[in-house]
Amino acid sequence: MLVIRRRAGEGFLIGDSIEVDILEIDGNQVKIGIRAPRETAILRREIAATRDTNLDSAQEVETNVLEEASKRLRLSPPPEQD
Amino acid sequence: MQSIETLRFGLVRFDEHEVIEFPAGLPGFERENRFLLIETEASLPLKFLQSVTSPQLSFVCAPLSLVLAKYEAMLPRSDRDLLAMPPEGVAPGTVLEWLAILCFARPDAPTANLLGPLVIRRDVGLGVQSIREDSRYSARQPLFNASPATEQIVCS
Repeated sequence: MLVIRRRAGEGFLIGDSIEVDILEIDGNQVKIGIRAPRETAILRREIAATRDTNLDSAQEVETNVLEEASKRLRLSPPPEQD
Repeated sequence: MQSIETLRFGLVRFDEHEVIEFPAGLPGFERENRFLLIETEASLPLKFLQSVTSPQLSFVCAPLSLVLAKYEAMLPRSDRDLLAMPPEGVAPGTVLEWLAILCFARPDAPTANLLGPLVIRRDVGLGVQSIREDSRYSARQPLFNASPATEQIVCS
């Protein structure tokens, strides 16, 4: 992974057509501006993770698999902590 | 009364007031805005988010509290807007239901999306898949921590 240090007001380029500006730094949050071609998808990573999971979750599930899962959920208490 | 021919349940009849509107859709399904929340006695505590627009599409869900007892809920400002909620607090009469979408990509090891739970306002029929702004929970949290055999050892 390429790691570079930038200050607020500075920026960098990715290829010829994507420009990233560091707009503001406030504590542990960074405000970033991105200039990119319209067809370039830009997604917060956690939204991309949920999109991929949703696509998998939309697949058909066999009835016996569902029955087993609902039975286990009924019988076993959930864990207290992650 | 309306009806749709679903893949999972066959013919489903419903009243308009039962439809839950997802103004933003779901990530990956942005154009799916109308759903029913279906539960059957046999499948409880599982519930099904059934699309009204695409009868072949449904998601298996479980109450968040059953996946993780002490889930620390978080509702970003933008999702509060989509649920017609005030920026802070909860107005009287608001009924919120929190669900995790389950994934059976590996049928023997189902997972629950705790990063992006479904938050549904039952009182007004609005819903959102609310993706957390922190990375505290996984989008693929194993639904069952231990195998049945291990649980037996712990219990004995």
